[in-house]
Amino acid sequence: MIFPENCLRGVRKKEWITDDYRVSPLAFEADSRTKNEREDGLMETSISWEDSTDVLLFCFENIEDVFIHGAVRLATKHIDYIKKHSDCGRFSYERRRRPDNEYHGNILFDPNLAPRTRRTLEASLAQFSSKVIMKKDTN
Amino acid sequence: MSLLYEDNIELLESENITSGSTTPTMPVFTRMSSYGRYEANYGKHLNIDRLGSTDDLFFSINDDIFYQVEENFQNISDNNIQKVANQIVSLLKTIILPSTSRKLPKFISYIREDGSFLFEWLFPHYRLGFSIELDIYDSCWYFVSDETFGYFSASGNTQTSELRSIIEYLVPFIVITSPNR
Repeated sequence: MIFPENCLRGVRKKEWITDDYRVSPLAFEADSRTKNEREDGLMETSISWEDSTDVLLFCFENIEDVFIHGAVRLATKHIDYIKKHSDCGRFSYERRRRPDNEYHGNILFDPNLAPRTRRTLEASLAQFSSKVIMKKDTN
Repeated sequence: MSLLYEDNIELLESENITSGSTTPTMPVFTRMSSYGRYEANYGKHLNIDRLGSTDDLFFSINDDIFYQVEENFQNISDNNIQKVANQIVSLLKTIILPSTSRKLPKFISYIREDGSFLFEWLFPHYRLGFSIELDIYDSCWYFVSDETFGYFSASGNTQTSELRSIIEYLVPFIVITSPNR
């Protein structure tokens, strides 16, 4: 499957943003509940694949409860780099469309990772992310 | 009580980072642990000219770069987490404060929903973090950079006697390569 150059992560909580609009690793913590809902047992962090320049605005207007405090953009190549060069188990990503979001996908975390490795992955994703993009920036 | 963990950090090689150098080298070290050998060696020679920041959030040491973290201690409900976080901040103070008069960014802390505590030192191209977990022995430090620094990534447990050595190793690099304010 071919993925676009970037994905978007919604900033659901204001506490995830620093004073200079960078994002905290907390923004990339996987939802541990999802491992029980998936056959592969992986944990999901929801993203939206930026298939076109319209996706950002789509997210702001249609997934407001997730993108409530903005969005960060993360390049797929950065996730690939982590995947290739880190001892991160089954860390990966996927496209998983939803009825309300055809761009939806997930960054997937191996639940068996050592806590230290998981925290480092979250921090790397935060470090690789753009500064927070606000809805007003899309106008 | 000693909080010594089974972790063992092996510093393999280092290059002195001297003030005024324009090409400091990312510290290179390899760690040995119960999780196996983990190499963190993506370092490149750096050109400080590339490290300019658009941020204007650097603070004088005298402004107390730890203020927000220490203020947040009172919101930590778990005494062990608070104790360990306090110990690490004290350690950081003893290493960072005498090392520079440069303006540096403040540390930023977060309390997760599960009660664990994270504090980070953010620079434009890298960040140093300490995550204090509910199981204290799962607590860790990490240092990650973006592609400007060659995607450097390293981590380890905080409950190790080597933590001081690691911080002493990283701080000069961080101070020297931080944008000069």
